[in-house]
Amino acid sequence: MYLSDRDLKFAVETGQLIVSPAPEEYDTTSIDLHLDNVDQAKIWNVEAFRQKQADAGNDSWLRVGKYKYRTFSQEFYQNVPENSSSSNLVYRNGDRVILRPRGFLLWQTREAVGTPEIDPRLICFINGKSSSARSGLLVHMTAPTIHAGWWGQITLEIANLGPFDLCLAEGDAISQIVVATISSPPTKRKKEGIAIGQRTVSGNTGSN
Amino acid sequence: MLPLRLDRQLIALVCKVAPGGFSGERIFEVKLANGNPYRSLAPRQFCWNSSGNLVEIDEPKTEVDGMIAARIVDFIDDDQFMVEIPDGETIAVDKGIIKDRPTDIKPPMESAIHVSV
Repeated sequence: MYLSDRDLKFAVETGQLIVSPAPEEYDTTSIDLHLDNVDQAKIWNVEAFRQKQADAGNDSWLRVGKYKYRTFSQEFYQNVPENSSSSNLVYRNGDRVILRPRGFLLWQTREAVGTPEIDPRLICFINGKSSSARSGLLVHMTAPTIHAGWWGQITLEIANLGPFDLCLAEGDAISQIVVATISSPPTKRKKEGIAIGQRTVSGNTGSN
Repeated sequence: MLPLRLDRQLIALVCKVAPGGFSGERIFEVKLANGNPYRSLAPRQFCWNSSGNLVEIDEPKTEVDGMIAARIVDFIDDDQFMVEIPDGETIAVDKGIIKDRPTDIKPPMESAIHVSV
């Protein structure tokens, strides 16, 4: 069951839904999320990745099924450059970010969003907004679910699939969450009954 | 069978905490039960510094000793527990790194500024 505006407001006020800073407005069934300050916009340092691969004698492609985003990201994030040369599909113009067609960046939301650790009863889904989508702006490609029981600022995966150079700035409401109830608080999460890094009687079987 | 008092118990894990790529995330590194390190990302609100305070928006500057929030999911044997960590994964850790949380993690309770209905 998706929450209406009055239920969203009630959920925020009672702490069942965490949106911080608190929403200034509620749409009929959603709450807008805003871009954080421009320093929280990042792009991938593709050249550094390629160089590292070359140095290691590896192919230059990114093996998606094997790479570990969490460590990879720390190595190859970089701030959006000021340089507007044609080779940069994403660049800064003062406090704004210009996203050329086929450009891609990551940008954190201003709001921390989610549900409390104890007895969560809601689940959140991140969506784009239809008005900006028609310009070609793609806001969140996959994994739109904020699982029950955790909360934090959201990293949006932003791409320009349209024909225009798009301009983005802090405070732009380019995404939103819709919120639904879950049937009961989740109990436990396991993968095939074994945790990462588990030490068993037969030796170290977990991977990390 | 997990003793009822431990089911879903909110705990902290001893770990290293380092700055993340975004202001809202931190890198943490936990030692797994099999001895391997596990390195991942967590929202800032789930990380404590070595003084037992939740990390502020501008800390840490470098990798420091700290703790990460977790929940006990299951009991594996006398020395290992299965815990869920803020990146959504379930990992196995030795009980020696499981600690009480230094502070509560209290989500903000803020009133709406303006409600348009």
